[in-house]
Amino acid sequence: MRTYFWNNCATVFLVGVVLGLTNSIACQQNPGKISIAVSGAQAGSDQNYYVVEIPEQGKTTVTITGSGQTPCPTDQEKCKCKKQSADPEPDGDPKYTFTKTAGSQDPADGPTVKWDVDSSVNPGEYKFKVTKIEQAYKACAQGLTGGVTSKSNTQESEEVTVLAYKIETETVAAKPSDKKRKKLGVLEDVIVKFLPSSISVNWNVDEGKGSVSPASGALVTYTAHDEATSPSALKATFKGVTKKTDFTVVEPSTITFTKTSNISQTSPLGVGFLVDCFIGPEDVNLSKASVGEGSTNAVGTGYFSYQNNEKHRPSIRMIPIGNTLTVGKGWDNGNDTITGDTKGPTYSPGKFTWSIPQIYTAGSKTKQFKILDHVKELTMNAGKATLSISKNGVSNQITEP
Amino acid sequence: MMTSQKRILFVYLALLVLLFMRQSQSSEPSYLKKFQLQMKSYECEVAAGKKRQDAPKLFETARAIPDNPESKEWRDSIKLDKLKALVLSLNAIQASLIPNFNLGDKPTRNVAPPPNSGIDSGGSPDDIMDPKLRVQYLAAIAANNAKVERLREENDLVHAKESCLAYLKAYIESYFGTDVSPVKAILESPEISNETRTLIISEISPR
Repeated sequence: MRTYFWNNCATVFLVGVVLGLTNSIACQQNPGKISIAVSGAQAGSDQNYYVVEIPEQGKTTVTITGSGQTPCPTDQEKCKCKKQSADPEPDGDPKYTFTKTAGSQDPADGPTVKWDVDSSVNPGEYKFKVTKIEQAYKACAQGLTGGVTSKSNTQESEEVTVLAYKIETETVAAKPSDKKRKKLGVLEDVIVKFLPSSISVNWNVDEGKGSVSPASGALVTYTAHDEATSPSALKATFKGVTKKTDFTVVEPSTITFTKTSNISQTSPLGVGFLVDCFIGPEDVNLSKASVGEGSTNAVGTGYFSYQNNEKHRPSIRMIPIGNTLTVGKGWDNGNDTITGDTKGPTYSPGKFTWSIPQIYTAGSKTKQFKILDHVKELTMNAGKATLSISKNGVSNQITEP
Repeated sequence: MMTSQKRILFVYLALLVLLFMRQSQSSEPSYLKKFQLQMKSYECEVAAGKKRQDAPKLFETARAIPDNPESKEWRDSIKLDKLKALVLSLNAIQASLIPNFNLGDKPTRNVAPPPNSGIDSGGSPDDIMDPKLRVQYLAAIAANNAKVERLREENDLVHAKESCLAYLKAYIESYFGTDVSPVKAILESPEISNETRTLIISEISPR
């Protein structure tokens, strides 16, 4: 009987030891504080502070992982047989308990909380902490004494904060209708909001390429550069992290004329027309810019030799580009009057050309963006003179009666 | 023992430190002070019937007041002071706009010279031989330039109004949320015009 008990006890014990060895228990006599780690978010300058941008589309998964050890069973809690003892066999994986303000903890994922950050997430600070690691143990095998049902490391981890943020932009100009666009006209204003608005943010732009006001806060106005720039970056620095928002800035680049009326006189021959002027491109707002004409000297030949070198007067006042958009033409920019005179008979062929620089101003910037030819021509046919004038694809002519 | 020279130096240094501390403590409110001074100067100019173009500068100064939502001082006082500065700026801009200004009355790039002047539109008045026609042309150019200038001034004010209103609306949304009672309290001030009041109320009212 005694021999049987001894053999049975030894066998059970050996099996228990083997099982105990094969199920490695993450235990330590004096386990330290529980650790917590974050992946999928950017570490901020403060300890245990992370930031993640709320994406406009798709999702970013932030994983918060706990790690640490449970206390090992004490001598009294070990399975004993005679003078030998061993740790009781663990029952499954240790359980981690989190306190959290977002995300979910699926036991199948192990000691983690997974948080899918997508457009439905409200901007704000989210807190995570591991409060407990608990290891369950099976009862000691029959014939053994002692045992423990569970052991806990209840030392809390540090709390980590994950800031979920977004930066929203909206153009001040109501037209074009896409107010979220990142393509801007020169000096166009954009309201830029950092969410959550409880965070202090410092803002700056690449040197000289646009401006931002105020320099700090959760709300600023970004004003585009005064000439074409791509990309033009607005930088937000908060919690030790810098986030860049890129804009593309474009200048006035096209001029379209639409004739509204003709002008002519026969004695002496004179001809002209009136046009409405439109400036493009249409997909940005250009109303902070003005357009005018620069100076140039004429090239006059034949009949118009007397006007050779005649000066085109530069615009003293540039006309502001308006806020009315005509699709296919551009933004309204005042009128133009194009007239050409003669000094009367005797007529003969001749040509007069002004190659007029088209200039835009925006703030302190003045820049030529196009040249338009003002062309006046006198031609003779069957003894009759025809005077024509054209500018930017629009023309008018008159023939001697 | 401290010599009298050392004592004077010590007192002097202590005073410097105190002065520096006082200045650094009031670094944020100095922006408000700048706004208040500018506002006073603007009111004097308006009373004298000039410089309506300065109203947008008030907004620029008000907007430039730094925000620091993490600072208690900012939350407790500067936030509200800035809101008031923004409302006053909008009020000034609104008052500077010319009622019923016709933005559709467009100027022309080139003025037509008088008939028989011998030059093309855009030509220099100096090239007109006839002094009478030259004077006519110069007058037409001056009238057109004046029209451009009026349009430019009004345009600047319209832009400033749009920018100020957009910023003010976003400021209220960002920093006051749905509690618009401080805004309404500011709007009750007699210096705020009915037009400005209506404009702001319509912007902050839930749609």
